[in-house]
Amino acid sequence: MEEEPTDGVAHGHITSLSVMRTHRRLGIAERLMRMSQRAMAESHRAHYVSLHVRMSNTAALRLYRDTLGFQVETVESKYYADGEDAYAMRMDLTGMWMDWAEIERMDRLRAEKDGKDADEGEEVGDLGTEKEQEKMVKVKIGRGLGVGDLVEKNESQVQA
Amino acid sequence: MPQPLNSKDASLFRQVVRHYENKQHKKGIKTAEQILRKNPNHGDTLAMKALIMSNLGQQEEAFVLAKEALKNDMKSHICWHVYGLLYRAEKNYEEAIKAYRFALRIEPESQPIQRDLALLQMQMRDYQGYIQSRSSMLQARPAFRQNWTALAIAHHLSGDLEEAEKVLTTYEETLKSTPPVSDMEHSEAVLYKNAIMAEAGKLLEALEHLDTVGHRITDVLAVMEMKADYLLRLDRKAEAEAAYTALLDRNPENSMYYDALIKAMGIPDNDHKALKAVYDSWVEKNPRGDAPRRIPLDFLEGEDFKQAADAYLQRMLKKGVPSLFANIKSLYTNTSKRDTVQELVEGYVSVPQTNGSAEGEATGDNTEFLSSSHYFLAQHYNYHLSRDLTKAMEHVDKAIELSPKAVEHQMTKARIWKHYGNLEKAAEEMEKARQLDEKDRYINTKAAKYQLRNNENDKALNNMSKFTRNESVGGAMGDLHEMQCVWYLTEDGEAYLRQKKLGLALKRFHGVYNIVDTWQEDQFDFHSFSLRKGMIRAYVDMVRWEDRLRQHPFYTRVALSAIRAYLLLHDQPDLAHGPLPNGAGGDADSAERKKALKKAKKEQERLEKIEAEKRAARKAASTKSGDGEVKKEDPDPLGNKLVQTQDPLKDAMKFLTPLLEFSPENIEAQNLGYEVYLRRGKYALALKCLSAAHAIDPTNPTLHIQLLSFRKALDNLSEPLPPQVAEVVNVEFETLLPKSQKLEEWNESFLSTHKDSVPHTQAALTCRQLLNAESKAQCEKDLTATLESQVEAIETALAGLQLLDEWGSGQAAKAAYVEKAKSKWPESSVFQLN
Repeated sequence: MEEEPTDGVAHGHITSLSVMRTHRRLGIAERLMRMSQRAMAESHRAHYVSLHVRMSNTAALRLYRDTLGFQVETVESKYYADGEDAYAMRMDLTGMWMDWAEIERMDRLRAEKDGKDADEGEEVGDLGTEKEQEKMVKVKIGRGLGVGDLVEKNESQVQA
Repeated sequence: MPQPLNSKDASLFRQVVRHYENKQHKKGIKTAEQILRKNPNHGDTLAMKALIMSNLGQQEEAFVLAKEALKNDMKSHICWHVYGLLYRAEKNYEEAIKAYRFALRIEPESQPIQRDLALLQMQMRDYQGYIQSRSSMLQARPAFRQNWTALAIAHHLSGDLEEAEKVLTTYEETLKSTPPVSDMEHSEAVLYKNAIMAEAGKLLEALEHLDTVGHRITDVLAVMEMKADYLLRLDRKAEAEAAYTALLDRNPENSMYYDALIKAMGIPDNDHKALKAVYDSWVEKNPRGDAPRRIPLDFLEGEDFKQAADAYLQRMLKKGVPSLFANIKSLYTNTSKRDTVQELVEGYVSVPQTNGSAEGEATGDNTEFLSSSHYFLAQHYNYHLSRDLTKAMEHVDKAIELSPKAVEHQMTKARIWKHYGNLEKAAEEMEKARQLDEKDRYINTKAAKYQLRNNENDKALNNMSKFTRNESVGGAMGDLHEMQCVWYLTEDGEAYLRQKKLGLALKRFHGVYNIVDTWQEDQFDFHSFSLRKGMIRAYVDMVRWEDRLRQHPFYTRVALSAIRAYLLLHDQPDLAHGPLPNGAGGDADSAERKKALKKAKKEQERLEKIEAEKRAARKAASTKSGDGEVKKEDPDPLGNKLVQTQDPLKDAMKFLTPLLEFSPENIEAQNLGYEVYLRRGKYALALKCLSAAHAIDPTNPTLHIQLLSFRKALDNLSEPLPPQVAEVVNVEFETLLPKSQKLEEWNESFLSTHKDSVPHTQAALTCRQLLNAESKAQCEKDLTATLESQVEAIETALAGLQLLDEWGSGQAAKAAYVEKAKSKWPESSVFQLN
């Protein structure tokens, strides 16, 4: 994650990524990218991830653009010390965000319910309350399956 | 006593403090001097001036001034605080802690002093002190979450998990409402508490806690992994299975998830069919993945293995995956699997080529497949468990012929030469590989490493300099230190050690030692930073990593080499002047020795001059660029000061002490520890190393020689050991080598027990010629005869040649050995008479 993003938008940046020469073409770089993007989105709510790539580095370009779905923002001329230009690329991550508002709404509902359970005797069996209870049951199932299922967003859309 | 200033000077003093805080050091000093003109003995001002000077790098003057300040005002907390800060800057933490404590006694309410003290206590792992400091910081500012978390960490690291959890809970209970999900500090603290519960063994409680709070924690993956782990350890199999399935959906390449999943599913290890079915289902879900295809090769046997291996190998070879062999070789400990793989891939390359008859599409792909297969076989026959270097060379040549531009193929050729024992050729071939892709750092690094193995330090540095910032202080070598390039410094030092250039060797070893020190020092900032950021789980991991820092193989290796260098220097003090031709050191007064020494000294002077010129050139260049911060040049780039030590063995202790503390299971460490302690006349400690080595491996060849050496040392003491030491030593040594034991018998029995092992035979022959000088000629012949045994590593044979040096054998005996070795390894270059 960028400590102090110049554009004021929380985002991640890939400074460097390399796979040992003897262990290439196993999909390790792709795996590392996908895992880190997901962590940026889930844990840090990054809006996007950015990186630079040498224009001559076709293998890397294929990974970022074709496999992962990065888009070229601009060309930065003479970005590298040896004078080569770089593509500045980025990819949107908001599709992988957790739905914080929903989590908080559910928690509020549950807290309300707990409060009501605590002092019995007040309006029981109301239609609206039942609906809420139904929803709450859903959350528990979601949690039982693991947090990932609860917050998962459609990743295929990002990969495209 | 307190020294009040008048109001004008008091306001000037506040300015000094402000200048210091804003790092306006020059202004600060000016203002301080202005006060001192009227109040020359004002302690606080003198102290502030000292502090600023220390920040400007004037350490010595700063200390003088700070002492003067204290003399003038012993009761000033500022003076004591500054005194502590100066010690802190010198990394003398114990003295710094003392000074802070004095300051705090005078000014118990001061937060900055309390904070500085706490940080040092953490750095020194004074947990009881840290708990105390953190408790009072919490009392002073309880509204601050960081203070609660820090106290919890203090309890946790000191081992009091209950108290740690309690502190965190107490804070949580003060919260009026649950913080929003976006509150990362909260999220991390909650998860930290959960981890503490699990560490305390309260798995069920931890699981229930996670079920209540886990959904709001932003580190989703950590929550999933922790939950899955708890479920599995609680034997809640169905839920664990679901949890690991969810994890594999996120990352189907993590082999640990598969292991856990299978445990959760309760599939027995020998039910290969069921196991394979599980992995196959994941292949279906992730057709591009590797793990579920590769892992079954570990457990499948016989025909099933062959089929699966065939599919796996063909798929990877067609894709041209260069890491295929690296991913397969771990199977070779099973010889039948090794042979099956060999048979399969040999089959791929022996299929008659359809070139010519079949036209069109397949031809291009087939070349890739063939060249990959030959490349695989080259690595296969180069690997120690399936070695046949002639075949390896044939296959690598075919692979290169088919794909002449593949760096990996050329690289393998160099490796084959290395295994032939021809380091010169290996370095040349690796250089060719580098030239195939000059922009690739990996192959550049490999080429440099092979040059170092061939003792070509300058060439190697030249290659490295293609990827370093050569304008930095000290040039390319300076940058390699700056970038903490540990592998390079280690290899470079070891190359110098082989050449007996001990100054440079020690220089590199100390370079690595200092880097490890830096890693230890680096954690200091994190004691405050991690708390501020709320990233405390990672922080606790880091603290624990730091506690094991010197267990790292990087350190172990360099420490072993440094101790070897110091031992050599102690045994041959003339080496302080540079490498000498072999044998020249023998006779103290011989004209030959004097001549050699003179030559060595001249060479040393020549090198110093070159180095000075280089430095001058760099200096000229850098003043031209002239940017702000000036870094100091190393005053001893060649390590001449290090090598001209008065007491090499004492210097060796710097490396040995942490080595024995952190890697006591390393038998080489114990072996070398013995040699150092023996030479220092520390018999009890030397014996401790022998006992430790004996506990690791009672048949260790070096230990065998050392047992005899210790017996002889005890028999030939110039003055008797103090009675208490003597008693302990005699009792303990009696269990290793009883005094009544006839030494010849003991040695011959060792020899006959281990007659099939060359290293053991070498050790026994060494002892035999020590016990009976007249047997030396026969021992030399017997040593040469060990070369006739079939399955020996070239390194062992080389060690035999070094033994002849240690025995002080004549040229004829060495020549006979070298001749025999060369006829056994005709491609090698390592057997040289010196």
